[in-house]
Amino acid sequence: MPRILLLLPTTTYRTEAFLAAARRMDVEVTVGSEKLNTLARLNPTALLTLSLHDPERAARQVVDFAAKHPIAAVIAVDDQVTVAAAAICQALSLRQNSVESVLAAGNKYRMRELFQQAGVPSPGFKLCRLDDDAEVIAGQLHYPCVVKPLELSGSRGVIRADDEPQFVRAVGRLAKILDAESTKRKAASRALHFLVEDFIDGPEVAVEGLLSGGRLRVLALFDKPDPLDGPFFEETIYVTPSRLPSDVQDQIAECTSHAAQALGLTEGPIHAELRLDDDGPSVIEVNARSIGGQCSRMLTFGTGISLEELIIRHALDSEWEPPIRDPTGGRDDDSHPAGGYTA
Amino acid sequence: MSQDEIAITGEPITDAMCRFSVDRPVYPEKSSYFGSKEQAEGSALAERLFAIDGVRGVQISHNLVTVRKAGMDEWPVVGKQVGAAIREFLSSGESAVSDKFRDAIPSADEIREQVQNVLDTDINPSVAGHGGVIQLIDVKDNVVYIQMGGGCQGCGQADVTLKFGIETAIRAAVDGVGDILDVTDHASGRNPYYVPSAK
Repeated sequence: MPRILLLLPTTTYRTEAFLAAARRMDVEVTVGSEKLNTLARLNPTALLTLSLHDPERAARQVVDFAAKHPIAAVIAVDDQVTVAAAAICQALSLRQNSVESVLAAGNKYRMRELFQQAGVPSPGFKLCRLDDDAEVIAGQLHYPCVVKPLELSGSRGVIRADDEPQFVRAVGRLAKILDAESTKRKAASRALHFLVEDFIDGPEVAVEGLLSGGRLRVLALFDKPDPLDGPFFEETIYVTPSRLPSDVQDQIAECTSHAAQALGLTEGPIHAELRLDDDGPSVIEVNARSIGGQCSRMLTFGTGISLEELIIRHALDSEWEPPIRDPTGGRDDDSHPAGGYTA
Repeated sequence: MSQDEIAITGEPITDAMCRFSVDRPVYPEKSSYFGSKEQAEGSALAERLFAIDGVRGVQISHNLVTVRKAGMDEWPVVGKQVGAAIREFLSSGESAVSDKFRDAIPSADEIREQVQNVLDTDINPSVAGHGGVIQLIDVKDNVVYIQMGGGCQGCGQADVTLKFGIETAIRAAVDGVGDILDVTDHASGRNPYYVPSAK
């Protein structure tokens, strides 16, 4: 039975879904977390404490562990452990994204630079310093624009500004968010930079995909029917299957694939956000992880495979072709109104 | 009795578990859990169910049969095979659970005492370090019901602690334990040690 290493930060809300998927597949599981589980001494081969904030050290720890307990695949369940997963895979010679590619996917400025170099359609951008005079920067910008931190997720700190006063207020607000974040992380200093991007006026979509040897397979395309015009961009409703015309869906897939290539991502799940305007799709971001929130519960593939199971299967066998998504949820004609079925 | 007249309804509980409700008792007023094919040997219904590809656990309780499976097939597909196995068993007139299996299972009282001992000596002193406590709520037949409190209730690591700590410790120390079920309302946890992100 192969052993997988699940990198589960203690604050993730996806533990249950990944453990259920692993259990269903009959694989041995070792959980790697950044803090000690109180019962680790009772099951040391299943409960590892790893320095996930220090990927090179985490890789050395796992190499030592794997000498006695070979690991067939490493799966990062959240943004914050993708770099550690890449470093561990590199040390174990397992197929994975390079450390450089996941670092780029985790830094919005680096991502924008790589998109620009590769000709991936994406918003115009400018890197700014938080300690520079916001009023001076405000005078140099086109409006509307969007202020963004370089590394936070979940749209935190992403604020639209339609004019100079709004921009100055947005930067002040972002500075407070970054201060709070550095206090929470007990970081020595807060982030120094932020990004200003052109606001793309148009509907937003999300792509859930799986990369294998650099080839993208789109698992689901989500429409976001609520207008995301700002000033804040909190996530609301996702709808899939998409109602967009098939040629637009093809453009979105092609654009996402191009963006993943630009970052150097080649393996595993990706989650991308794009905006559509008259010029076609523009890539807002591509992350080297699966969809956040509870959205994965909506997705089943083939005969009821969960997204988490699909990710684990792919990590164990790159040749495995994921089945297509079942948009109906998999009920058959024997369904009972109450939810049961005739056996 | 015609096999076709036996009504069986499957209600999936999770992707991996489904409860089949039969319109008549299959194991009257009794309950047993089988965690492996080897355990099921000689028990007519359990043996038939374990012959189905992917079946990993079977709980038989009066007119309810709960099946845990691994594998890719969806419940309506596997359920047809489960239904056929139950009908074949009912028409055979055999006993669902063998005397040998029944005699080998410790009583619920014995399991309760041993599980409580594991909680008292191995588990609770450790989880107390994070303000947690694990309570034994009940043992029915060989199924153990526990509740996670204090820092464990709603903790981001609760599922890891349950599956890789508590289950491992109990199964290592107590023979004949069936499912170990967590009945905690984690959403109501007021002071979880590791707070899951809000997304």
